[in-house]
Amino acid sequence: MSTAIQPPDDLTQRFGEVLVAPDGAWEISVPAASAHDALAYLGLEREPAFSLFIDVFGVDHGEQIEIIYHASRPETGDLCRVRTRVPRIGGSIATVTDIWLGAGWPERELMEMYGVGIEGHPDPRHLLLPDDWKGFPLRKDYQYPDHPYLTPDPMREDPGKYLSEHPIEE
Amino acid sequence: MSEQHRGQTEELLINMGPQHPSTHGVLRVVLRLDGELVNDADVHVGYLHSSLEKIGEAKTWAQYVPYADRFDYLSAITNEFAYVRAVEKLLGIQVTERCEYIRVIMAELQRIASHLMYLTAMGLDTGATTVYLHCFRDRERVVDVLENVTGQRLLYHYLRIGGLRNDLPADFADSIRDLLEYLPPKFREYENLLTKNRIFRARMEGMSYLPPERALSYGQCGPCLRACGFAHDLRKLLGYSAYPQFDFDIPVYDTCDAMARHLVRCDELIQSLRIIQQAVDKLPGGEVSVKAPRNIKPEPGTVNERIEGARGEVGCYLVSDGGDKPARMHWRPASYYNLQPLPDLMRGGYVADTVVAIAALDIMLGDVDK
Repeated sequence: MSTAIQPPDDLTQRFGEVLVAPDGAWEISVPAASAHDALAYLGLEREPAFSLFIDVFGVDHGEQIEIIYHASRPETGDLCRVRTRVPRIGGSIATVTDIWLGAGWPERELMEMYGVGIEGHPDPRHLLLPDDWKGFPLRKDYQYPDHPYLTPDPMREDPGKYLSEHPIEE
Repeated sequence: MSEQHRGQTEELLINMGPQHPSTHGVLRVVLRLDGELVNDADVHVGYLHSSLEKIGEAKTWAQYVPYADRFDYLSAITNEFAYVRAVEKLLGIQVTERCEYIRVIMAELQRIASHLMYLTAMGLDTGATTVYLHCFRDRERVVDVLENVTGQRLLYHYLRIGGLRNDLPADFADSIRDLLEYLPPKFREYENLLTKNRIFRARMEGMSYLPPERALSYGQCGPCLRACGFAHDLRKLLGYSAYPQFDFDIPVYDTCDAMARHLVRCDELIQSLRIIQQAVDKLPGGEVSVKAPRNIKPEPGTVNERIEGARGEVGCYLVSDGGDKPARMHWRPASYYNLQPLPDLMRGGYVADTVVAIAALDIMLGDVDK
């Protein structure tokens, strides 16, 4: 569906260059500091607003983590894509849960999977990973743990020592 | 709630799941109860997390198709559909007309199978065991047709980049004709048995209400969004694949409750049959696959594909760095966004209605946990 429709005028006026992506989405690139303002304009202030939340996710680009927001409208198939980048170390961005409630879970995923800080998130717990998980799995340099799920089994490692310490009762 | 319900009670914290027959997999909901009333709910997901996105970065483009099946494993064809379409876009491959038609037939059969599974679970969760048995019996007939074509009954691995694994078998026309004759009376039977049932209606109507503006904000999709009065169906809005060539309606209800979600799915069963009938009648001849490179290495770039799965919008965002594997793969699963407002739906209701709230959303935990 690469029907390249011209982006609406108000977007070009506000954001300057609006790219029409090969998949038909209108693409806007903004710096991380002003991302929240831009998204609030798109999701709340603009008429008609991109009120239907689609998703938010990260892409690892080495020095920087790219964060991509997708939003749409219920009446059309239009897709608006906002790209922004935060530094890999210590990078953070303001939450958009005040614009779209649905951003709650994917932003929790961004935190646990990429180590991106989300400022003002109402519920910054892990979502998919266990609470004590170390590392950020969707980063490219992620090291796989030896025993991801199990603690080492002492009976298997040294049965003689284990049995002498834990004698089987008659 | 009226005053007579409000006695002196102590707040009770109760775990629903992860092993609970009505949570449709491994969903854990921590309920804060005031007697029979739900004060708050906290949803814990991730028990089925299998890092399907990370696996995507370690598999070649063609190898990933069977993994795509495993997100929403009751609607495997639509996941494959999203993935192969995304890769074809990236490569600039145009598949044949016959291939598009067969993909649509398979996707709609899959939608019927998936919605019948929903009816099964919904019936069971509201105590209607008869519907459970009838729907399972009829879902078998649909799955038999899918098996006849693909050789598999759950995870099909039928769609390929650039086409299909195989053409339709010789007896396909007969089997689909039998199915199209068999199903409509059965759908009327479910309507009489379940949808018009007084007890069922009392359990569904007005339950788990979600205001339309919150539904949009939460990113609800598919039948859950169409139950809030929005005619949002990507088959119509984006008109991908062969869908623009078929005549079908989008069922929309605006009561925003569990009953509306149920009715949308019941009506979609009939619309899916209409699409299949038209596709089988107009099925063009020719090849089902075009020549795709054996060693796929797309040009560097990104692509996003959105299609309408059985549970709503399935999104697949791919990043290629020119290598033989995706540099990044992101999925937008439908159930993930449909499940998020669950605390909103449960708050202020009774414990017995929590089961209805979950079942009416028709979630699939493999899809939620990725």
